[in-house]
Amino acid sequence: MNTLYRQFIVATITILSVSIIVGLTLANIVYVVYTQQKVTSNNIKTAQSIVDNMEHLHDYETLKPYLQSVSKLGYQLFIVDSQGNQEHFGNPFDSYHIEPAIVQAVLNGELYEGKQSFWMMNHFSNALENTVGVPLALEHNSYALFMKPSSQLLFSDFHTILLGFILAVMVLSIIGVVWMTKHLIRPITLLTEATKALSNENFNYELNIKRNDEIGQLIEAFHDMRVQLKHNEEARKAFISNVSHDFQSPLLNIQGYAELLLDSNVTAQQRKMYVEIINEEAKRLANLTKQLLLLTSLDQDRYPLKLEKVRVDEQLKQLVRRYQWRLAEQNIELSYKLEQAELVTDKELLMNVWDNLLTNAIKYNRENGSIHVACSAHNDVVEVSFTDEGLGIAEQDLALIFERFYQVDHARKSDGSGLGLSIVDQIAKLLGAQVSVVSEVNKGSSFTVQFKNKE
Amino acid sequence: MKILVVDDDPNIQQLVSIHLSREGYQVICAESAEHALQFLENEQVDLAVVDVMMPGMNGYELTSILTQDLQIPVILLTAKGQLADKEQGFTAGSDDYIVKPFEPKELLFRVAVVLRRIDRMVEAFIQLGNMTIDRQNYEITIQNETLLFPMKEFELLSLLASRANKVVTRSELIERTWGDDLADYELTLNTHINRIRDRLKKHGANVEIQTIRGIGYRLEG
Repeated sequence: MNTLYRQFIVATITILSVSIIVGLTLANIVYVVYTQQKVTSNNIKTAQSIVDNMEHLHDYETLKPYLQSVSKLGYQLFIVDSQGNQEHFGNPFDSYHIEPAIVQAVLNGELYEGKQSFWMMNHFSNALENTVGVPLALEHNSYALFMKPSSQLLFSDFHTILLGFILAVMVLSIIGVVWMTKHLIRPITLLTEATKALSNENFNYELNIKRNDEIGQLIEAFHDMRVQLKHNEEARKAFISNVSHDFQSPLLNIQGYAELLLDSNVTAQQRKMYVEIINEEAKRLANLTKQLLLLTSLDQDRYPLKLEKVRVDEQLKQLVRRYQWRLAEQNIELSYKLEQAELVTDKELLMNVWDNLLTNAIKYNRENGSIHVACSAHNDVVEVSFTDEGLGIAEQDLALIFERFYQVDHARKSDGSGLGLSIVDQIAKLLGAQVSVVSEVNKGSSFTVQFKNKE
Repeated sequence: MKILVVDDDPNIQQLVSIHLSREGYQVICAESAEHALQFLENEQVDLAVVDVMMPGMNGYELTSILTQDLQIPVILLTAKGQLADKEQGFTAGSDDYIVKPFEPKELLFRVAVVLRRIDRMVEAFIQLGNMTIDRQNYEITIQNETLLFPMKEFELLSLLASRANKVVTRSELIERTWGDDLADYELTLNTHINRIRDRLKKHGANVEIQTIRGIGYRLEG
């Protein structure tokens, strides 16, 4: 916190200083290039009108009183005669240094335009060198008259006020920055605390800051992230407990029946039964692992879809053919009516959808039941449905069947993993398809997958 | 029945041969196409199960030699994702194919289908009314709809259809379908025939199975 605080103040002072320096430099350039010349020529004009007056209206007697009165108008004057006698009028100068050559030149009738300097403040210093000099001839004597507006006139009360104003602005802006920094840093400090709480898995840390600026947006985004993380964490815990339960029970079964087999008293018939159970459970585990792997890879942010043209009807025929032996085994009649349909989609994933839906229809069918597979295509809409005459799903379960690990009670008895339909759902989302289901207990279920061909 | 299994993977070779011999087939294994051909110089087999991917001569080349020169039906084992090669398999002349990994039961089913096909040497297609029976693929087509009947029902229906409009006796139906002529199957036959009737009706077939009391059945269409 301290560093940010300090950085702000240092930055403010630096900015102020730099702007003052740059401002002064610019003002100096403007002054030296433009204003200085004007001021000097104005001063020379004034000096010359004084000289004019004196040469025409005054003699040596009235010279001093006249200059005295001119000085009262806000000028500093200095006069030198050819003998080197000198006198000043008005405020005294701080420095009376001036090159004798300059004085001589003015006595000889030349103009002196003041000392040349590239720093404007030099021009305002109360020095004799900063005056303008004009020659003056009075009663056959030549004089050099040096003159400048009084420094007191230049640095008047107004200038003091202006300086005070600038100082006040500086002080106030520093105070303002300090206050604003504090105001800015407080929510950041709070956010840091909240982040620490989050990393300690405390997902209930509330931030009570309402702001409409970018920090407000950051806090809102942080809030959303916290809610999402909380949800993910809960989902993850539920997932892990489901996975461990679903792995645990077949493993326990395998272990239990393997122990029974070790007993030398088992009859051949019992042995066969135990081995069959072990075999079934092993298959269930294998299936579960496979499905879990697929589901996890689907969860990745960007699943690499391999898009290609797929003949859906051909794919469904292949699928049916692959399960023909299971249909025969369970005496299930399968009928299909497939219109020619083509989709641009991921072939493997799509096959996975069909596979899950067909195996479900077989698994949850009844002896001598039937399955109907239909594929229709019109107006760029491809619709595939699997209708079985099986056990059906109760209405209260319908909303839940796409949840991971959700299994309707009777489904638990078979080798289902509880992942099949959530894989179907996930893939459908990925491929932009709609899955819908109609079902009635003891009558059967019908799953429909609908694709809109975007072409 | 003698079956030749050609696969360079000893595990698959063993798995396949165990399941086949348990079904009562006599199994001979070969780990390469060359080895298989060498063996066939002195021996006769009824069917070959051939893996597509093998070092040396591949499965397709072997299949075309087996089916064209030696008249041996072939079931190809293809890897997943090679489904596009299906046509290549069939052009090479194979009778059927299975995609790996497969359930042993699927293999047995396919083997049984192919063997029965060559065993009977019956017409592949029977057309009656709006119904077509494809005996090669065990499919029935009624008005654009394809039906896969349970096996026994398919056997019964195709037997009746092969002698359409003639009476087939109960004992012949039982013997040809269950391989037994015992009275145990009398009731089973009745339920099967009734189921077939229901199915035909459900799918809108314009053929009908008539009961000839005390003798048998007649398919009319």
